[in-house]
Amino acid sequence: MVGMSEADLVERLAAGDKAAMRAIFNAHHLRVFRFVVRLIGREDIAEDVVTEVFLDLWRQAGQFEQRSSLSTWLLAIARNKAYSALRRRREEQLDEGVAEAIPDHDDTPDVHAQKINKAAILRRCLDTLSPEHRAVMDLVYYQEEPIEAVSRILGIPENTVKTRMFHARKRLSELCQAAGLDRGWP
Amino acid sequence: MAMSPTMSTTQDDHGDAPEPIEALLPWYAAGTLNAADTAAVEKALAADAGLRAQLALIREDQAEAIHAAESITAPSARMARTLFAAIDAEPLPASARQPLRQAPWLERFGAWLGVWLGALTPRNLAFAALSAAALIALQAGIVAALMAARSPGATYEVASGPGATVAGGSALLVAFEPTARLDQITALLTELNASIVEGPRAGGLFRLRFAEPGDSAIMASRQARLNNAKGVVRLVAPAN
Repeated sequence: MVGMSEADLVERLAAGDKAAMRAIFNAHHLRVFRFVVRLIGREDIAEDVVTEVFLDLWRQAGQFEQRSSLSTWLLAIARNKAYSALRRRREEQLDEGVAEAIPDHDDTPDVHAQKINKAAILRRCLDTLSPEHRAVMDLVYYQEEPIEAVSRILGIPENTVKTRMFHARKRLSELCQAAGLDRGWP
Repeated sequence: MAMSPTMSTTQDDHGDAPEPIEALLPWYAAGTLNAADTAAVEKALAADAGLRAQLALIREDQAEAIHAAESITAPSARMARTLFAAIDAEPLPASARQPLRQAPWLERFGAWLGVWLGALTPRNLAFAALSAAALIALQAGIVAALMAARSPGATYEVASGPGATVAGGSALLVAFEPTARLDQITALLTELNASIVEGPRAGGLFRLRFAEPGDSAIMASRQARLNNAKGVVRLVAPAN
């Protein structure tokens, strides 16, 4: 499989080639996994979600029309499944909640120590963003997806992608300010 | 994409909007803007200290977002085991079972034919026109045989070679001459009891599969036969 193009691999996959499936899985599973963990915050659930994502790819590879990259396609499926998993968790465990729904205000000594560190505050605030805002930030900064790809993955127009990213940044700065880190914006 | 994600918006998607250049800054920081937008952002940055300050904040956000993602360790081996056990337990994907999914092979074959015909000189084209009826009939026969073979475990059958059923066996990669005729190709495949099972690959290569496995001596003789098919075969290479 070394040296094969993505298009070749997908074509082999559509023909039922398991070696192609393994090559695609090896190339993409970590970034998809990280994207899902960033969205739902639970690695065990993320593993189940990512398994479903690649199983969908195996079953539906023939539908992939290569108008977008394979990673965009995988991340779009992952985003849909992650949101479904989030909804299930909210319904099943309302009392437990998810990180962004009920921020933790009880600082342990460790957390207090972290807060003297600007980077740690920023990281903690990133984790408390809504799933929508975490998703767009992860796609732009970590996954390095261009505007058009983010639009496809999130299923929103490109202008809405830009606006959502802007509000995610703004919200992050507001959270930082509330945590004692004034960034001078907004 | 065939499977479009559902549209979703949040309340703040409709709130106050950023300035056009300001909105592009995160993608500028990530290096994923196109050349025109990159130039526009750089021009604006040179003239606006406020934008430069925003970019500095964005780079901080970016560094922490990357750090947060990178700090997530790889999933357990259980995930891959579960996935491939599920795949092993499933029938072949629908795309590999349905006749429709085989269309790309035919499309590629058609595309190859198009390139082949397009490469013909006017003289060859005139000759091709004379043999068009025979060519179309042979092509239809091959296509029909290929279509009939579309089921799991089915074998490909060369239309002009009754009994030339191919299942397993050894393989070679072959590129045909642009001027080779279908009847010549078919005759050669029939003689060798071989069929085209894949292609064209890069370089116009097709994978030929022989009905009967052969040791190195037999494969060498098959390769020699193909190499000697002047005017029909341009290149022969081992398949593995």
